[in-house]
Amino acid sequence: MERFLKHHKDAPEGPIVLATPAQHGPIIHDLNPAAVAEGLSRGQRMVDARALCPQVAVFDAAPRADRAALKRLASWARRWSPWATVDGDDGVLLDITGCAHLFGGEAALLNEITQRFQSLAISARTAIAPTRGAAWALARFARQDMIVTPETLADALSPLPVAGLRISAPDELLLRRVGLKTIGQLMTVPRAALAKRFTTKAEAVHPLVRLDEVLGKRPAPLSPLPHRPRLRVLQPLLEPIADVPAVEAVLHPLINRLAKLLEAEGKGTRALKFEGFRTDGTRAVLHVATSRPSRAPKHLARLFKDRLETLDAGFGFDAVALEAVRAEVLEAAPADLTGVANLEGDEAALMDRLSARLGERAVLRTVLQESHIPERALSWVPALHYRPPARPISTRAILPQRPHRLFDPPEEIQVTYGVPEDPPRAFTWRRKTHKVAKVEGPERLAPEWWREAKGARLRDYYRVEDDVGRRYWLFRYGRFGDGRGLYEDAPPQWFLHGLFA
Amino acid sequence: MRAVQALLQDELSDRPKDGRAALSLVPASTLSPRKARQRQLPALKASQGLTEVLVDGARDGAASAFAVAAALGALASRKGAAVTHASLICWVQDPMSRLEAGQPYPHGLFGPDISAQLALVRAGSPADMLWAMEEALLSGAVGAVIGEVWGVPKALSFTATKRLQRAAQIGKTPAILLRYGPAQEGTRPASGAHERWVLKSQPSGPHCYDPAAPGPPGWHLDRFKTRLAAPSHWTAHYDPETNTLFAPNDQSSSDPPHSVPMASSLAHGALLKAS
Repeated sequence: MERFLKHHKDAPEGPIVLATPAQHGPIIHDLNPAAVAEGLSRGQRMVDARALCPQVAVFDAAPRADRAALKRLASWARRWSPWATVDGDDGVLLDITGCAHLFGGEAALLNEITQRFQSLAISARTAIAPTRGAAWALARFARQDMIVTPETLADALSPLPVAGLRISAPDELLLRRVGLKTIGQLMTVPRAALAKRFTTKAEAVHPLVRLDEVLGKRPAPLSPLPHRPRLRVLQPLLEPIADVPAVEAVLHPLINRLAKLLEAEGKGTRALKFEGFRTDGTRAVLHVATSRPSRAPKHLARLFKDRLETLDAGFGFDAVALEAVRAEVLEAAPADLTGVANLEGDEAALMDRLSARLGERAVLRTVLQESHIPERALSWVPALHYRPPARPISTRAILPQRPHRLFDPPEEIQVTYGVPEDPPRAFTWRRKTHKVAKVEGPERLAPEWWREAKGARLRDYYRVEDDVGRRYWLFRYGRFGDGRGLYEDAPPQWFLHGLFA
Repeated sequence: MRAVQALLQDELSDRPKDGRAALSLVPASTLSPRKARQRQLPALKASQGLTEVLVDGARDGAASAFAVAAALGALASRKGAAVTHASLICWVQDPMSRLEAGQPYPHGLFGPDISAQLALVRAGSPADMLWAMEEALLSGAVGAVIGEVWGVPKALSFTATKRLQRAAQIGKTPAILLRYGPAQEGTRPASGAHERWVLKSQPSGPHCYDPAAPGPPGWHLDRFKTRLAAPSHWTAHYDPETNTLFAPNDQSSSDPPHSVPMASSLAHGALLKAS
């Protein structure tokens, strides 16, 4: 809600709710105090809410953005402890074991945290407790911000409602119905009775398990957000530079620094981003990619070499930065003792260089596909994403001859034939008529019914030689009377699909 | 300068191994007539340098097949020396040749066995195409480089062809350049390539099973420029199985079937579905 209000300064006064779609129409995801005053509550159906309070302003909730914001907040909270993580949809959890004295004790730390959040205009409830579950419960249900020690834990928890145990909603309802409203009441109930009452529950959300977690009788580990340092190097410049050789001169040390960073991390880069910060406050960006992880400065420098000319420096760059946008694990390979150069590596380096200058979609490798339709039997994939097959596929034994060149899509031709079902006597392709001297065929390829539209027609392929000796691959698309043409009783079409040697 | 000298020496030392000098080692009289005719046909093997193949228009598939045959020949001869050498063929197309002449189809060019060994580069302009060829040649990472260019673009000047020739020699990689454009004598553009051919389809030989079907492809090969022998021209049939040429009157009886007969294609659909 606060994130929403921050981004919508023009939001109306009065009750506001954020709605989210649910199984039976939208429900309230979050609401402001004015809406609470009108009697609305979280999880209520929007239709009911509108009936209660017709003037309510409704906006869409953005749970994904909320989660992302919370994650950013958790990373920011690492200033107090390296063990910080997102807790549920609305909390940040810090393990401050051994950290508090850095901030002058637990009370001072709690104070600082509250103040920092206030300066961010985020209202936050905080609590410090010896267990994770207790901190969770105290932050949400205690009357004020609290610091609890192991000795005072049971006393502090007793007055809190059972919802503070992070149990499921039906369990909470059940406990309330039997009169166990607070955690203190629950603690007095014999364990055997509780365990019997909730036998069917999954272990993790079992009230008894939760209770043990809260009291520290059972471990509740915390997994911190992974810490990933940005693989980025920045070089501010004394004087703005604008010409290519100068940019190249500052780029090389940058690449060397980044390579050292990558080596320390045991990683190689798959995508690099070069940023030039212009003096007028704008930015020029250059991306290059590699087909396999690399941190060889020479190779990376060559990828940039041909692209730097395209960079528009404007009035000059006063700072440049280089970042490994995508990094993958790259183990240091021992030097090759056989003396044979690593050819696969050379090949990948070549593909990288070609892709860097001509574009990713311009450098292609073939991947065989399971299809008998000629144009579908193999697909062209960008060399940057190509992985050689585990074992070579051989289909040669069962394939009849295929053309050396393929037109994709096939080109339509006009044909003259004696009998409709016969191969053509002559055909016209690109405004030139070819007389047919020799024919082999037909080779009939049925449409792939599991893939193609219902009206797809079969193809009869002919290998044809014209009177001067050129060899073509023609096909008749459809049969007479197959009822599958563009219109009723459409005759088959003819196409030229390829050329033979 | 030292590099140039070394190259020249290479060329000189190559000389006796190829062309007529090699032929003279075996007296013609000791060969059977068929062998003798076979000997006179050129080997399908691209030399280390630039080989230009001129084609008149996009309707002829012979030139691409010849280019691949020459590249495979060069790879095969190389394999004997160093088995580890790269066998990737880099195929660079300029946009016009792709539009006019379609794209290479590995199933037909090599059979599906080694189709993964082709890298296709779709350059955006003839200049980019030349750059890509040069880059691939100099890297030494590919077994052969085949380029395709439509017409006579400005970028493909005499100097550019010399550059490619140099790059192919330095990278020790055969380069084959398919040029769709004027192929008639007197209209051919100047070029620094050490070997130049004109390729034309000829009526095919008889099919081993079906007299009405096209058999082994017939080619007219005109090697009008070469450093190792006198210019010459041949009419021959191509055998894709062995990657060799043979004289038209030799394929009468003993030749292996060059393609799977069509009868098996009927079973092909069923096989695919069953698998």
